[in-house]
Amino acid sequence: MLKLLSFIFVVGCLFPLFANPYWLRIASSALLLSSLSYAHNLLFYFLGYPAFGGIAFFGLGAYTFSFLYSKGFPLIPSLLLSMLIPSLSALILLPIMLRLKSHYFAISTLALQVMLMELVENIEFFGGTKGYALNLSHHANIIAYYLFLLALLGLFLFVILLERSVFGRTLKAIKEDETASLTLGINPMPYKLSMLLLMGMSLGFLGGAFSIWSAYIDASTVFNPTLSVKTFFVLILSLNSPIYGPFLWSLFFEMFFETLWSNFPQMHGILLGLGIMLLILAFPRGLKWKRS
Amino acid sequence: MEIIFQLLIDALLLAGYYALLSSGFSLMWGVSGIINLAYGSFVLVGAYLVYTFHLLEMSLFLAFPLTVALGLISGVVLQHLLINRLINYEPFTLLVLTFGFDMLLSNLLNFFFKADVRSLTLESLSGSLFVSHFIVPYNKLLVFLLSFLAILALQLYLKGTWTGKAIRAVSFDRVGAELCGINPGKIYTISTSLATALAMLSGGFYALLQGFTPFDSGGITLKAFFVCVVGGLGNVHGLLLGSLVLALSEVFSGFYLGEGWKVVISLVILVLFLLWKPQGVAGVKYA
Repeated sequence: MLKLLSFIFVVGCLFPLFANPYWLRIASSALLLSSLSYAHNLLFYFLGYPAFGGIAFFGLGAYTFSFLYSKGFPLIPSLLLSMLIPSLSALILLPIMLRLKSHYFAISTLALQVMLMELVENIEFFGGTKGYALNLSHHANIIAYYLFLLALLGLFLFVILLERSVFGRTLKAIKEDETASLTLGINPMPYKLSMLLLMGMSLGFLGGAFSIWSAYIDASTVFNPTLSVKTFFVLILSLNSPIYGPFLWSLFFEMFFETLWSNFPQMHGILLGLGIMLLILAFPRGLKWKRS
Repeated sequence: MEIIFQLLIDALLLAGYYALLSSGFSLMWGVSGIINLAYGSFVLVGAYLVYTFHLLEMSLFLAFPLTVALGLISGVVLQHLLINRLINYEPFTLLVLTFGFDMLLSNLLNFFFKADVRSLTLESLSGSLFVSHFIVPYNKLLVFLLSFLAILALQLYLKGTWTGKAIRAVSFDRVGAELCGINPGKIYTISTSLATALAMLSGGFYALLQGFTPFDSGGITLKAFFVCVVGGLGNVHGLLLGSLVLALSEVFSGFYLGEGWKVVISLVILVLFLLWKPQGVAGVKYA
C-alpha cells in the first residue's frame, strides 16, 4: 500500500511538468472526485452512514473560501477557515440526523444540501444567483491541482491507518452492531462525532480548493446533486476495496466520461445517465452497512 | 383578509393536484419500498406526450387515455428490465439506478424537445370563474376535479378489487400476504405500472397548469417525496394531508416571501419532519 502511495506521490508531483492544460484538468477532476469519495467513505464505509448530501459541506467550504477571499483575506487563512466552518457545521447539523438510518439518512442530508443551495441563492449577501468570481493568479489551476493531490494523499494515508488501527476496528464494530458494541463499553458518539468532524473538514478543504481551481463559483455548481451522485456511484462500485477502489474508479470514470463528452458534447447527459445505470446494474454487490 | 382567502383557495386547488401527483410515488414506496427518483421524469414524459399529441391535433379525450396506457406499459418495462435486477440488493443501489434513469430521461427529453419552456394552453380553459371577489381559474378547477376523480378511482380500486386488496396486503405485511397465496413479484409489477401511469397522467395535468422544461424533474420528485414524508405512507388521508401542507407552504411563502423561497421553506419543513416524525402525520408504516 505504501508503495502505491509513494507512486501516486511521485507521479502526482511530477505530472504537471509534463501535462498540457487539458490533461491537467482531467487529472484535477479525477483527484477531486477520488478525494470526495474518500471523504464520504469516512462516514459511509467505516460507520455505515451514506451522507448522500455530504456535498453540502463541500459547498460550504467553497462559499467560505470565496466569500473571505473576495473580501481581501489572504489565501491560506481563507483555506483554513474553509476547513473550519464546514466541519463545525457538520458537527452542529448532522448529529441529530444520525438517528435516521440507510436511505432516510441519505435523503435527509440531500435535502439539507438542496436547502443550503436554495438559501444561498436567495441571499444577496452571499452573492445570490451571481455567485463569486475570484481574482486569482495564472497558476491557480496548478495550485489547485497540488491542493487536490494533498487532500487525496492525506485521506488515502488516513484510510490506510484507519484500516489497521484499533480506532478503525471500533468504528466497524459500531457499524456492524451498535448495541453489541455498547455492551462492550464503547460509547459510539465520540467516534461518530470525530468522523463527522473529519469528513466536514476534508470536504470543506476540497470546496476551498475547488474555488481556486474554477475561479468562479455559484450555488448550483458547488451544491450540485450530480456531484453527490458521482461520488456515491464511485463509492458503491468500490465497496469491496475502500483503499484502492475510490482512486481507481474515479480515474477511470473521469477519463472515460471526459473522452466521451469531448467527442459527443450533445449527448453527455444521456451517456452519463446510461453509464450510471449500466454500471450499477453490473456491479450491485458489496453493499453492506447497518440495516435499519 | 380577502387575500388570505384567495390564497387558501389557491392552496386547496393546488393540494388536490399535488395529491394526484404524489399518489404514484407514494404507492410505489409504500408497496415495494422503492424510492423512485426517476418519478419526476415520468411526470414530464407524460406532460410532453400530451403536449405532442395535442400538437398532432389529437383530441385530449384520446390523448389522456393513451398517455395512461403508455404509462402502464412503461411501468411494467421499468420493473422487469431494471428494478427487478436490483430488488434483492440494498435499497441504496435502487436510488442510484433511478437517479441515473432520471438523468437519462430528462436528457432524452432535452434532446428531442430542447430546453425551451413549453406549455399547453387551451382556448376553452383560459378564463376564470369569479365567485364574489375570488378568482378561480378554469384550468386549475378542472385539474382539481379530475385529480379528485382519479384519486377516488384509485381508492375504489385499492379497496374494492381483489388485486387492490392484494396490493394493500403486500404493503402491510409481505410475508403474511405470501402465506395467503399472493405473489409479491406480480404485485410489485402492478404497483410500479400503476405508479408510472399515475405519474404520466399527472404529467398531462401538469402541462395544463404551468410551463415545463425537461429539467423540472428533480423539483417534482421532491414534491412527491415531501408529501409522502409529511403525510405518511399507506393511506389516502396521509396523501391528502401532506399535499395540503405542501400547497399551503408553497402558496403562502411564495406570496409573502417571494417565489425563490418556496423550495427553501418546503425543504425546512421536510427536514424537520424527517427528524421529528419520519412516519408522517397519518402514516401507518415506516418503510
